[in-house]
Amino acid sequence: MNTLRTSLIGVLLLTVAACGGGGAGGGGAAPPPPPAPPPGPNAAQLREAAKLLDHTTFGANFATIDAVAREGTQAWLERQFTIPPTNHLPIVLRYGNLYGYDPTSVPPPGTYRRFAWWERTLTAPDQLRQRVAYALTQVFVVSDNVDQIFINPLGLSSYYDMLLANAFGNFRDLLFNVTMHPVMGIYLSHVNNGKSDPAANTFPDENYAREVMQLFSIGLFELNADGSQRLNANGNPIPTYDNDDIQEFAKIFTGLSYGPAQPGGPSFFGKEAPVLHVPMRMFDNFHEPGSKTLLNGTVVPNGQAPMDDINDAIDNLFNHPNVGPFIGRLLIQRLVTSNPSPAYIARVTAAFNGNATTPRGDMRAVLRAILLDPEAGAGIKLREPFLRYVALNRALTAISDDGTYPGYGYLAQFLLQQHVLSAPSVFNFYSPNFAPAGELGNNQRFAPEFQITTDSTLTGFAILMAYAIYGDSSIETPAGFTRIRLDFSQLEALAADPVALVDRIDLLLAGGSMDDATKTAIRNAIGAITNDPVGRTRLALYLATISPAAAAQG
Amino acid sequence: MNNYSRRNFLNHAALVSLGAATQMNTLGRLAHASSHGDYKAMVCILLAGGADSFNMLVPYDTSRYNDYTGFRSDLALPRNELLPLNYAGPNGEAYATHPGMGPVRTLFDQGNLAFIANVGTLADPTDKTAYQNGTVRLPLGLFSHADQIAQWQTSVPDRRISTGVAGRIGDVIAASGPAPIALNVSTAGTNLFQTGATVTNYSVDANDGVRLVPGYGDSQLFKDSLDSLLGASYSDAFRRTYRQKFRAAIDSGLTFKAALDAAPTLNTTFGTGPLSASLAQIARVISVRDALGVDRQTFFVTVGGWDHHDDVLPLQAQMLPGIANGLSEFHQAMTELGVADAVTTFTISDFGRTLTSNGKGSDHGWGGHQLVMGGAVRGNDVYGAYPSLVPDNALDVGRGRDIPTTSVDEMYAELALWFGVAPSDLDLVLPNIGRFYATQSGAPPIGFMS
Repeated sequence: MNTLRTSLIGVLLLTVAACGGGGAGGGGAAPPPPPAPPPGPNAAQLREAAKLLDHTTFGANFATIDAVAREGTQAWLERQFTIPPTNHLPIVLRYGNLYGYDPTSVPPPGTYRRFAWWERTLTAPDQLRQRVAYALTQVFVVSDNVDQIFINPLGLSSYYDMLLANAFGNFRDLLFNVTMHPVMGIYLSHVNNGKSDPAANTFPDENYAREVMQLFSIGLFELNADGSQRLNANGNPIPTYDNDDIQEFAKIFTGLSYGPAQPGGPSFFGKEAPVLHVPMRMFDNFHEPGSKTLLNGTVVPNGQAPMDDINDAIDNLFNHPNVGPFIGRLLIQRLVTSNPSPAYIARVTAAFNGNATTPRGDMRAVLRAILLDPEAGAGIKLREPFLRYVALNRALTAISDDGTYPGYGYLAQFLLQQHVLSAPSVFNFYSPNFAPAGELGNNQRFAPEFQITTDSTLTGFAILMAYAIYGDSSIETPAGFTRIRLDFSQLEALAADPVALVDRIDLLLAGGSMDDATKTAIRNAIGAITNDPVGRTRLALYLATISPAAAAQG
Repeated sequence: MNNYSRRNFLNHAALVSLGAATQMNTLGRLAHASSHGDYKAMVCILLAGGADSFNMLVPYDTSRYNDYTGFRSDLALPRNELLPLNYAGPNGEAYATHPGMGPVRTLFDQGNLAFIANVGTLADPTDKTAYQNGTVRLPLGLFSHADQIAQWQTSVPDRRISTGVAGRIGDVIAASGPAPIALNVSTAGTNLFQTGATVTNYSVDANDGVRLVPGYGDSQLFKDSLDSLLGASYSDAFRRTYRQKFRAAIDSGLTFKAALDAAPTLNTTFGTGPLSASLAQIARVISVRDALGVDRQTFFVTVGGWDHHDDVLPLQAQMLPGIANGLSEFHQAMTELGVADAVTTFTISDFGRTLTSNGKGSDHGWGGHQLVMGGAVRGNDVYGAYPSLVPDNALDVGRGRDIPTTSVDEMYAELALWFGVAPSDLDLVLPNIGRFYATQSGAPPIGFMS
């Protein structure tokens, strides 16, 4: 690591400082004649493809942008829907086997779930599915900041696989499978949640009951289809539930404990070693007896099977009219724009609610409505700093000598205060309703990602970019694993022509949306570096990655 | 996080700070030194998740201790493990702290720390009848993390607003001149508590202080290029906001680094826990207050992981010593710097927790106990009203969720008046304060500050 640091600082000083000392204004060899324009998509088609790929993937290199521009965005989207999931758990097991762990007894190190995530994210063909699963991790939040979850990578990798499996399915199944996953059971403490014991004055745990309503399905207040709050006669918002409802739902989520480690094997209610990669199972004797009153006066009867209680409660939430606008807005914010218009939300709600041919909760219909909406091309959001880091690695086609990508992610997490499945709490890294003080807040415009955009993370992002670009470090790979490196060669081939180089970087990192001032500033900077394609390329990349234009895009 | 990943974090922290330290800081300039003599600072420690404070301040007299064990059942701490405080209430009340909080007991007994009992979010003074009949305004999202953790920072529980108490104090200060960048300093990133209409916070890292953008201090070409990028005009508010924040981060970093590089080395040693690391960094910032040009500062620290639906006893035993040690080290550092009387530290948390058990831990409650520390605190006392621990008492709205008997507004009013907010400005800082306290009365809201 000391070597890396030295090389970063050294390269940075050599490339930037030394060249910077030379007079501005260039000189040197005359620029070569511009190459003949290649046949293929025009600039507008490339920009449209780049924007779609920014919404739907973890980032794209030029070949991918070019291919999507040729195929057409809608055709590409439909083809993505047909690609089967590439799962993460098998990668954890592969690393486990490779390094001598037997997952049936001692789980491999917790970091292996990060290896699996980076490998799939950088290489998986089902990019849309992977990207939607990532968005869902910020709705159905669980985190490795809980020790029990951190130490067993089978948990979070299987949780991610569950999101992948349901990303193009039905929201009702997604909500059910989230509820039954043992990692969620640990995170919101409904695993081993027993029934009331009047003698001991103990009651069911209310944690999951509250958050499944507040965060995972209906939110706090009744909504219209366009996401606006319904108001009562006095002009006040109408709460969707009260504490009595929470106590009733808490009774529903009792009796669940870990499933068997092996199919058909034994399992018990209580605090035995957790099994984190198979759904929880119901232990009927530990489930709260009696009837329970759900929302809108729905009563589940006394004496029915405990799993029927859970299914009835999931159905009760799933059919609440809030789910379309509440979940729809969250997914629009994660994928496209921070401030969808009411009409945009209403169109997504209509897709969620279904029609004669499409059932309620169809995720493909919801995603089509979000990604192909006329507003999708015009909105803007602050891109998640973690995703900007990931996208750099994909734009520059991170290369592995042996085809494995064991990413580590701690440096990014430390510098950016963000990493997949590492949120500080169930409330995610930021609130969907965060509006920074100043111009955006004064105009009631939401910008969730600004909540983690602090002096520290802004500087931290620049440090991370300097490591990646000058340290040639790509994803952070632990000592002893295959080295991953970024491929600068295509950009270096353009370095003699500052206009072409900056335009290409604009397409790769800003979807072709850079302001003229940004491009001019970068061109001027690299114009001062002569006869050094490597230095030009890296300075252009460094400035571009930290520019406001790359940070905030539609 | 286990030790394995924590070590990795620390290694990275060291790595990054080394990298930053090699940067030449050519543009750093000292802000004009403060000429005011009456420096004051508030340090807010958020115990995020809702700390089970009924096991942090426990009744020790036999009668009430028996109520406590009856109500808390398997969550009660054994009496012989508690640390009794050197305190006797007017009716023979005795109290003890958690066994892991020895340094807090010492601070309390020395008169440098007090507790505020059963304080919480209130939209209006509230009793059980009015609560049950729905005839009183209640905090929005009562018993929920997101709302309650926000309301402890905004002190406006009947609305969801985007400014916090320290932010609004900063707005009042900024109304009479530009606010210094070091006015509101956070080791927990952006937060609601320190966000005002015109001011926000400056973030420093608990582990490595101020970091700088690589290259900015070394290369004129890079510096000029980045300055140009950040000086350009942008068509969209998102890019303009990003540009402003990035510019401010660079400028503040240079100023802060120059000041901290000249910080004296303290004799006080801090531990390695999360609170100790944050408070050590805050002590450094306070030590260069003159160079930073500030005579009023607020600090914000978050220590998370208190949502103990599960395993509340072992987790508190593991986590509370870190809080108590951090507080003790910080008080020692403030004494060493000669500002113990000028720095007041207090805890907040989402809510207290249910007195009854869920069989494994406790659930979200309402009122809870907070502690206040510093030389200006009238210590060795328990303020407010410690609630009855008999089930279904006049404050218990179910499972031992207690209606607070002291409002968050009153706690902040006491601190704000000490900090120098004029009584006539108090409603700018605390819009609801008039519901709980006559701001022109001349009497203190609670009485814990001297």
